[in-house]
Amino acid sequence: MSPEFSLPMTRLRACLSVSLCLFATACMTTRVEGLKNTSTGIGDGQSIVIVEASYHTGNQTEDKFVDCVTREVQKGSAKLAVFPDQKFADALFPWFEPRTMPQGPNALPELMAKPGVATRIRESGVRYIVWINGNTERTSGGGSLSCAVGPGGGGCYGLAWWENDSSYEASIWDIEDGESAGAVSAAVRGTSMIPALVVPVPLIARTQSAACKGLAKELRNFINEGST
Amino acid sequence: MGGRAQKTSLPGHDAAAARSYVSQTMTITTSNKATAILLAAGLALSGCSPSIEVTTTFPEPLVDALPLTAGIYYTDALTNYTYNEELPMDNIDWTFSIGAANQLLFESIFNETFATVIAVDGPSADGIDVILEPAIQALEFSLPRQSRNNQYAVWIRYTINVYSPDGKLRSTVPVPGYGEVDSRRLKGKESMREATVWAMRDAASIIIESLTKDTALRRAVMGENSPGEGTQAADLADSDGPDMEALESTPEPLPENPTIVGEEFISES
Repeated sequence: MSPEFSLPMTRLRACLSVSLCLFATACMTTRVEGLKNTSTGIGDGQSIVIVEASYHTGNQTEDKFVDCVTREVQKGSAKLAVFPDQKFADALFPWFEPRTMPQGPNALPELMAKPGVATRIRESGVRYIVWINGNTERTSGGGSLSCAVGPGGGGCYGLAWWENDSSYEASIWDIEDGESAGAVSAAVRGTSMIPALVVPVPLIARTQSAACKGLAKELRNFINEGST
Repeated sequence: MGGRAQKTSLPGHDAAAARSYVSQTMTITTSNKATAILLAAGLALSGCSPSIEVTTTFPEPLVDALPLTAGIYYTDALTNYTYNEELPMDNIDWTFSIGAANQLLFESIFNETFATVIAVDGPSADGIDVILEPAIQALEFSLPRQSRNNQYAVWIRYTINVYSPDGKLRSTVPVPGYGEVDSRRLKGKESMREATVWAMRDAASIIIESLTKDTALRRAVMGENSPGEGTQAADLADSDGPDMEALESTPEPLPENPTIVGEEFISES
């Protein structure tokens, strides 16, 4: 193969890789649902606290997902004030530890009846407790991708893909009314792939991030709906 | 890239306030960034010996104090407690130093759960109602690769020896504590330290809760003929909780390879 011929081929491969990078897509399907039991609203000086359901119940929600939702609900025009979850657990110690935290809205009266709890919560200004459940799982994957390096350079060839499923639910408890205000959920399914023709081009479906943003947006709408 | 969003209102299940809604969005995301794949090279960790030292303070419990004067006997074994384990597969020594934190933990618990608390030098003393001697029976931990999830986990089994003022042992009550921390949040050593703190807080929550309910610990602390025991115990007789049942049973050794979650572990105790 002459150098005159091999140079354009190399350029062609590079162009193909760049084109793939720019125009190929990762596909995601997002489904956000909400179920409201009571009218909601939040006043000035009131806040919410976002906690993940206890690992004692087998829940494996990723900490970074809870951090993401906490960050996102504090953005935008309908932003919510968030009381730090660790500070909340410390203020109510030991009644909001993973083992002792209420497992359902029916347990709220029992929590509030414990000495000093109602006063501490009132002082904190927390109106809603938001419980996050769920996780992100890799549901399937396949393909093959191989890379090689030689004296003249290196490259990768092949296609690898995988599918992620992010499914989360936020249950909202109204402390003032002592009942469940409802729940919002977000389910995002996405397929990521890495095609490689010399240069690998990762096309990543960020399902967890999409679920976080979807859930946070619905949460803001859900809680703010009755606010004036 | 912009997606298409539809929001459909569905009939509410309650006429006035209840309302449900569903929004479904189909998003096509275009990745404009060509992020290179970094194939991480394996790190040789030989010679690494993480040391976990817990120096944190613990929150003041929200609880009504029992109307008793309690003597707390802190042994050197508790206040100087260290645990060392070498993981054979990695040649890594993990060392846990939680002696000082143990004392802070139990001071935090007992200062709020008893009307008066006095540190004593042994399991008998005059002028007090009850003596408690906290101790550690075992500590175990697991790494994400052992449990095949993303969690650093720590199990601690405390015991509380309850003595009469004359030094007679009334009861020995096992108190398990379990904590886990997502390895993706903090670095390995920090995750393990955090998991240890959660395990200690877990044990504290069991002790405090058991002192407010009709449990072996509370009965031992109050004494068999305590005037307060009958009334409050009757009120709380219907209260449940798996951790409380665990307190009633005989302790068993921790599992050799703890890969199960704390609740299951505790149910075996």
